[in-house]
Amino acid sequence: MLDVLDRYDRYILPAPALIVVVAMLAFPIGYTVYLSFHEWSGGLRPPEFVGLDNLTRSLGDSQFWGSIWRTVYFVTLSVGLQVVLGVGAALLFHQRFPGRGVARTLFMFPMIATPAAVALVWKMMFDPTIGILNYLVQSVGGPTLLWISDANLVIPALAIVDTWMWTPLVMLIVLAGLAALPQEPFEAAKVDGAGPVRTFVSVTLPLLSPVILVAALFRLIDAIKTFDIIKVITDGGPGTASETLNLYAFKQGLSYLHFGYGSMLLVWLTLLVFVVAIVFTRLRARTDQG
Amino acid sequence: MKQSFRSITRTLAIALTATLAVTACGGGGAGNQGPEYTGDTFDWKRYDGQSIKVYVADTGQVESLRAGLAEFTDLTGITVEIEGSDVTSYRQNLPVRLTSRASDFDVMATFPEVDGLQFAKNGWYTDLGPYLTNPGMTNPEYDFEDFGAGIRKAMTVEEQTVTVLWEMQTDLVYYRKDLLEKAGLEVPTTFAEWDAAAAAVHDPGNRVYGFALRGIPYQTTTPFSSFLYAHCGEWVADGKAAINTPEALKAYEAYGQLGTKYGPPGIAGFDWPVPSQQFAQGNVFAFLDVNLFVKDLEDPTKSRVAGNVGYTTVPRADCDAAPFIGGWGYGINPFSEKGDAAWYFIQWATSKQMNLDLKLTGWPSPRASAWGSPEFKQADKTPEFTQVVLSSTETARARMNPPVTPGVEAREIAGLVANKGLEGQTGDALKRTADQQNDKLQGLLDAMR
Repeated sequence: MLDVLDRYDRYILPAPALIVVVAMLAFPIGYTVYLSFHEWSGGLRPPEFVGLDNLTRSLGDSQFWGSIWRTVYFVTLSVGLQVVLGVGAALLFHQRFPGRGVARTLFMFPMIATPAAVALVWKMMFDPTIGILNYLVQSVGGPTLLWISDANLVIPALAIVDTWMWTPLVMLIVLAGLAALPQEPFEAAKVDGAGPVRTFVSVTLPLLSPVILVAALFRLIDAIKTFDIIKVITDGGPGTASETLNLYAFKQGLSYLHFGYGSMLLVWLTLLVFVVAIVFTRLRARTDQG
Repeated sequence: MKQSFRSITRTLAIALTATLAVTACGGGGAGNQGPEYTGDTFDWKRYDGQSIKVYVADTGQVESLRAGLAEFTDLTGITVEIEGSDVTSYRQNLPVRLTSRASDFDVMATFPEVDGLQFAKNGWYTDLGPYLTNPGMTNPEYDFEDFGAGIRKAMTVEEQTVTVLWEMQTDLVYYRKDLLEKAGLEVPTTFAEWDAAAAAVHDPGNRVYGFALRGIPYQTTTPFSSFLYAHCGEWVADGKAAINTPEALKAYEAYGQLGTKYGPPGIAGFDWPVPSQQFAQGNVFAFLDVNLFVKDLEDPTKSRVAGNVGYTTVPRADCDAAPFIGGWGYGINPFSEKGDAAWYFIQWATSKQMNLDLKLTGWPSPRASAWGSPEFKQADKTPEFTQVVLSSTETARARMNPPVTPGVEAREIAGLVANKGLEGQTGDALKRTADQQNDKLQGLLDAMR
């Protein structure tokens, strides 16, 4: 008996943890996929098998396509901003200057805050009548902006909140990447007389790009799934102008009790995350090789 | 490749946590079939020693409820644990718990006007009728008739009494007396007169806006129902969705125009408390909404307009005014194993004395005896409000949403037209939205059959 344990300990010892992990992953996947082929409102009657009905329904559902578009718009805008600002902040905080440690800590504050609390504060700041943002805009002669009540402004407004919260994460990752960069290429660039801009474009950026891609991937995955700030600030409004796929799936599943259709939308969401992850992983592999 | 696979696996793991949101495990439930005791003597101590759990949306009553629990335990020997959560979370959690046939709570809050049809269809209600008619289970002093006929109807879904209301909601108009007086106008009684009054006092330069309304789609149906009925519209007529009829369109147009012409900026995104908050800040001349705000509006520590608030019934248009009537009540979880003790709690929590106690703290009571009691009459600081609420109940209708399941989706569908009106849609554009939403509502109606 002990012989068996000795021989297979590498399988036996982690088995309980492995079983838990597999159950935690496999059950939600399996049950969601199972439900996506059913219609069920949660009542006493069991889920009714409807085949591909939910899939075909989603393909013909303009609200679903609208939610995909809004997800892509929100993600592109917010992650784009976060990468640009995060890299900029990392370059800034990579320099030595008095008070750098304090500044770095302060910069990371938004990331630590609870998203729902952050959302409530921003909701007040967006208020067109008493919010501080309009006060600032108007104090420089700008118009009254309906930040979260204007269908054209609401996604950029939400992207600002997401950017405020998560730029520090990008900065942290890039900062770690900067610290790990080899010094020889920089010294060579210096010897060749390259200026700061040329050094950044020709040396820093190419060396950093795998790290930037990792940071972007983390943020992309998270941004696609963004829920709390949108739920609290706009609940998908005005109308459906900020209803992303995650929020639409939530509404279908938990507000309208269409568990089957909500599950199908979550399968789509998972696929979307999966595709983005594959694309970025390949991109990163190519950058590594290049 | 190894690296890619690891990243993909990790990504997938993160993404799939989202799926947990809509998965629910099935479980066994005992099933509450109705009262067990069939004798004819009522005894408060019959369930002495039991403990029950009350799961409610915290609409403000929970503190009063907690304050009286010791008295209930003394009376019955039943101990009570209360779990309260905000309305939004509650609305999302309760169906999930009922889906999993959870028996870990015995009393639940329910708003039949929103939950009713869906809950009934899913078997999530316990019929309270057998409890009410069983003299061994209901205290002879309970006096169910004390709840008016309209309110009793609001407790009913498909001919079954599924809840007993602890509050009574109905629409009315709140306005600032000083601004109306300054404009030299009488209290308006029609929507056209409110339009004119709002125009007369609307002064955005000084941050005084003529009229406020709710803007978030699914929340608009509550005040919009008063617009709909006054314009002779219906949610559903002859079994067909009717939110694109000429009458309904006139109502939507009136809602949108009142809000866009005289509302504060951003009105299309207004959550339900915002009109009352703006009014309390002194930024709004009038708003139409439910009767739950009076307590805060008359509190000088919370309201700049305290003592200066006028109340009047919802206006009429082509038809007579007909505000909705309804509210939150207590029901019995059908999967509870302690349904009888749960009923004892409900009849205590909705008794004459408890209703009067709540009424004295400012909550509109569903019991006639509470409004008519000498204690309340003596303590009533807003008799004008009392008179408006009581007269509203005479013409009220127990319906503020399309009678279609799922209730929240139906609210969202019908409410989106009102929301688009507040975004400025009028005429053909508004009709197109109404047509589109009417088709969706019809789809839900068809699915119910």
